Amino acid sequence: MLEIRDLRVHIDGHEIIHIDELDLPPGARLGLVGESGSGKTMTAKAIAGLLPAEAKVSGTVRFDGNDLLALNDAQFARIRGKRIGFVFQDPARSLNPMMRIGRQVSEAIRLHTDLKGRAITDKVVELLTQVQLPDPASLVRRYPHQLSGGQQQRVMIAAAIAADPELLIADEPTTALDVTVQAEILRLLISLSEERQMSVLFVSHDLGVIRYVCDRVAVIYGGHVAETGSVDDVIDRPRHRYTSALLAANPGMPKDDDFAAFMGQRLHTIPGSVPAVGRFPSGCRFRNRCGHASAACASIPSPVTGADGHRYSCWNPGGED
Amino acid sequence: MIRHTLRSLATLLFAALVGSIVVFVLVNMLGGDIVTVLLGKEAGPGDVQFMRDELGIDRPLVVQYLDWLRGVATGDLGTSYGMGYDIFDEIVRRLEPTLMITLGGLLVSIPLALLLGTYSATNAKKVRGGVIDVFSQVGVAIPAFWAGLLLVLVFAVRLGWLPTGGYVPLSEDPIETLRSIILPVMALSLGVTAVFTRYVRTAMIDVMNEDFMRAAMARGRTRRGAALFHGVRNASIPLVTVAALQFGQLIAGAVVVENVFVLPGIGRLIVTATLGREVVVVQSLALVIMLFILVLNFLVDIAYGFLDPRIRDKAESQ
Repeated sequence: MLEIRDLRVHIDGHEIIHIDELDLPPGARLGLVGESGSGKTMTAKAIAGLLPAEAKVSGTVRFDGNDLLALNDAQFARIRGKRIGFVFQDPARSLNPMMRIGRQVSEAIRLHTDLKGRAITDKVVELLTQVQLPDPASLVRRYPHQLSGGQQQRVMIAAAIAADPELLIADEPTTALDVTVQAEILRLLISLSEERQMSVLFVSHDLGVIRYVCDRVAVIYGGHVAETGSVDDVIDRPRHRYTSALLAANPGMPKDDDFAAFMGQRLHTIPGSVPAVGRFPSGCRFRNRCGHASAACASIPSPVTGADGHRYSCWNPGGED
Repeated sequence: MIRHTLRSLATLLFAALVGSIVVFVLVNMLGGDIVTVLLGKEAGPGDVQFMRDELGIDRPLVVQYLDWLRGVATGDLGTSYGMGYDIFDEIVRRLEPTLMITLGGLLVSIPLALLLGTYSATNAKKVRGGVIDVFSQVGVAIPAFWAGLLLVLVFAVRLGWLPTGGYVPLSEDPIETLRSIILPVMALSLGVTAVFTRYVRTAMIDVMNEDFMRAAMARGRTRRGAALFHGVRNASIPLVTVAALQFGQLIAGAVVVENVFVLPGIGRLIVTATLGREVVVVQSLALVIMLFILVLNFLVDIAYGFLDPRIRDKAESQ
């Protein structure tokens, strides 16, 4: 479905992203996970051609055999919305405040299909029903500010899948929402993906959310893929030291009987913070924050591939195959 | 929407009332004795007193104010001391050239600025956009009277295409009317277009960076398509405000331009009436200009509600 090879993004002469190899099989749900500033969102936007003009993108992103990066703005516009849907992080800012809901949900339908008039309205109502919004018929005439955050994100999802795309890119779709609403939106995304056989590229900083939604995951650090594989392999048997550090920083859930112990536990943090653009060390990008760094880490680690496509780039891997 | 409109209307009426008081008080505090102007310094005290009674300027200010307001409402403001014309009729007669050049200025400068500003915003990092920025910088700096004189020199004196000045009323010869306002409108729009271009540019650049613009592109809009279908309307809110403010600039500019081009409009009347100590004329003209601006602000208020559903909802819920 999606084959990324040697994808690089340069801004102001700095290489922000370099993804050597990453695949998303048809119908699969791939998670991109990493800290703020790791480059996961930028990778997602680069794939959809939604980066600002000052970002220089090179490499290949094969989508169903065609290289997306070779397309110009007008050609890309014919794919976006039609074959690739995109859901953004902040629904309140991603909906046009001056345009009615119906108009925004129907935008992709008007642009990419032959439907007209009444048929468009019917389709919009059907979409709003699918994303489980109440009273869709009157909702089409309302404006974004009249909806709650969760409802707005459902509208964004309806607008993204309006022209039946084969791939949905969701960039931290629940980060701006309440925890209870989060779970509902995640369930909705999973069921839509299963009903429609729609592949999903899911960006999140939360490994728990990734495990819930995705079947494969890529851990991104400094614009590189540190580790990738099935969700179970990467989360239960991490090899890259960054993945383990990220997992250790996650406190997990309190056990019913011992809440006090949960609240009393020491949280692990990753020392330091993600370096600014252009300040990453040579060789392994994580080595200045890594507890296991050695002299070898000064040169770039070559990827090691194990069973089921479990691939990592680390000189001193933890765990075992 | 109706409540929003009614509230704006109430604001308009209240502001007009307060404004009329301010205008009246300020003009009457200007000083200068009209009787001395009319009769000369050698006039006897009896003549002076007779004149003062005749003009009614010894009455309390409140009475004079109410008398003036009634005059405005009934269309009877008396006659000019010095020139003998009927004040109300004269003001109405002089509205036409002023309205023609100010509205003409709006009609030219707003679409032009929208075009130039959007072009400059979508080409912000390129030379093409930069050329427009330079033009708007220069345009802001050129004074209207100088631009007017230059235009007269080139198009009227040197080339002889257009009249050097004067005005032909619409009722006499519409074609000549248009010919007589071309140069004044050009002189008047130059600065306003330049300033407005810069506002359009800033507003469009801001909007182009909004998340919903990227979301529109994600649904299949091209960059230009998103700018057109989603950007312009969102950029219009700040622009409507600025456009209304620019109208005040246009009226101020009209005073200058009417004098350069010898147009018999409000602007020229203000100058002659002020020099002639025609208190009633000056305060009536000030009132007319104030009403212009208040009505325009009222229209802008209404426009906000039409443009932005959030403002409409807020007004309804209050």
